[in-house]
Amino acid sequence: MLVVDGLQAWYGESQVLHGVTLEVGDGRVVTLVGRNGMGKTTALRCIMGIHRQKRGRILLDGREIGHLPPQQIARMGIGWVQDDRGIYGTLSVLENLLLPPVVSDESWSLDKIFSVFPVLKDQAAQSGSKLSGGEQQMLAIARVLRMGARILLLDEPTEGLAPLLVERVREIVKEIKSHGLTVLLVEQNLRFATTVADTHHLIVNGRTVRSLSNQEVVREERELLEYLGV
Amino acid sequence: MEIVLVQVFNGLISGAFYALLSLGLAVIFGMLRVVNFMHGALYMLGAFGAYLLGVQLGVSFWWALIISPLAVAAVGFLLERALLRRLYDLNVLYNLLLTFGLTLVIQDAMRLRFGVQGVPYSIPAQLRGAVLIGFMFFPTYRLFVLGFSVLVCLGVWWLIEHTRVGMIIRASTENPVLTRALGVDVDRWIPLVFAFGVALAGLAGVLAAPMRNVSPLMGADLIITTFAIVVIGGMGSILGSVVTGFFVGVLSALGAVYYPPAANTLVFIVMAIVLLFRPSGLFGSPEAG
Repeated sequence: MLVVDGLQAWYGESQVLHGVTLEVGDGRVVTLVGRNGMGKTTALRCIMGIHRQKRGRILLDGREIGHLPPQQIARMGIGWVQDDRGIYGTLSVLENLLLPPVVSDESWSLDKIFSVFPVLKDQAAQSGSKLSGGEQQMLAIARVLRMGARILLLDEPTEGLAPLLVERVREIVKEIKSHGLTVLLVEQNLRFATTVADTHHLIVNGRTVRSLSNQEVVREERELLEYLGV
Repeated sequence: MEIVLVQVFNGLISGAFYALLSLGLAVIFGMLRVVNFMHGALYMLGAFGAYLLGVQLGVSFWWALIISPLAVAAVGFLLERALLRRLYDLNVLYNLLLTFGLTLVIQDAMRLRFGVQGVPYSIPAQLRGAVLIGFMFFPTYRLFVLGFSVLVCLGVWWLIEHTRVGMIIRASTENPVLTRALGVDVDRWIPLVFAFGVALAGLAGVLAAPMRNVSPLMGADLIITTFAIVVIGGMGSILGSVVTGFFVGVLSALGAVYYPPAANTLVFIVMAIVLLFRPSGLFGSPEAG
């Protein structure tokens, strides 16, 4: 279980997070939805230990992890899929998969990865930069599954993808969930969010203002879309 | 025509030193984001290492070729652990200043002990004389330097392309933040990569000992050109540093024939032109750096 409580963050003098609070139970898919520039990506970077100018509590299974460096947080089973996918062009597709150390028993074998993502097998020897946007997204997710992540932090996985590929990402998130893994999904796309997640946290100006269930989101969709400025 | 070919060969010999030095600088910059100004001073220590091993202990050139770079690596390892690592969180300029300061300390310490004149180091017996290559005689030792340097560059390239450490070096060069966030313990490799990079400088120093004057300032003359090479090749680019190293060696040698006044300036003209059109260098990617 990942708990973020009253998280604040700064870039130099300017404060960008004013209180992010959320809870991601084991095996759940939870979203952080909000417009661009609301602090969603910063929140993930804080959890990952990359952004250090922060205050508040970040707990993994009850243990405070806010002070740990990124490599230790990753080794505790948190897999970060950053918004630009972060595929290494100087590494082959296979090397991209093998770069992270295996950190838990839940690590996916290459066989399992290639059966879920056959396109990666076909291009294993290619440079990571040769993949299309959708393929890079799959590689970025597959990479942390190979590492053995129990909790995946997905930063706008559908951004810039064609509708057919958005559908594919949806299937993948469901597949991840069916394996009992936990996902914290950062999204702008409310429709996509409701089809994969259980609970939603609405973030406005660096503050989580509401937690909603799927039913509530569907009921209040019109107001929420206004909030999101879509 | 013959003079051109001779100069191309001479240029390749200088290039052999440039390639080894800039290769080490590139690996270090890629992994540590440190512009290692003391690279030239460590090259000089490598040459003095060979000299001292020979004079004090009677160690042959061949053993010195192994022992002296290892000693330089140890010096680099200790300096990294004791000093450089304290500045990683600050602007890159701090480590540039630190290594510049260390350069002055190392050079002056050697000057106090050995003077500025330098000391002689003779060519190993097996490599004396000259061999006929096609139309001309070329000193055997120089051919050895060229061949050896090419082999070392290929070896380093193989290490970086085909081993796990090499993969981590490439990943950290391209995106250090992400590499840590994927659980890779980059910090564990940093002192070893630094030691490896400066060992290459030490190795170049040993190779230089029999053909250049072993003196405390021998690295100072070389380092500025080497920095220009790293910039032309693309900061942190392994291939770029090696190819550009040989290219600049040949270019300067030819310049010395056709327009001697510009021979030493050519590399900086090339650097300016390359930076105008490709700010991240010939082989560099815009993201790294």
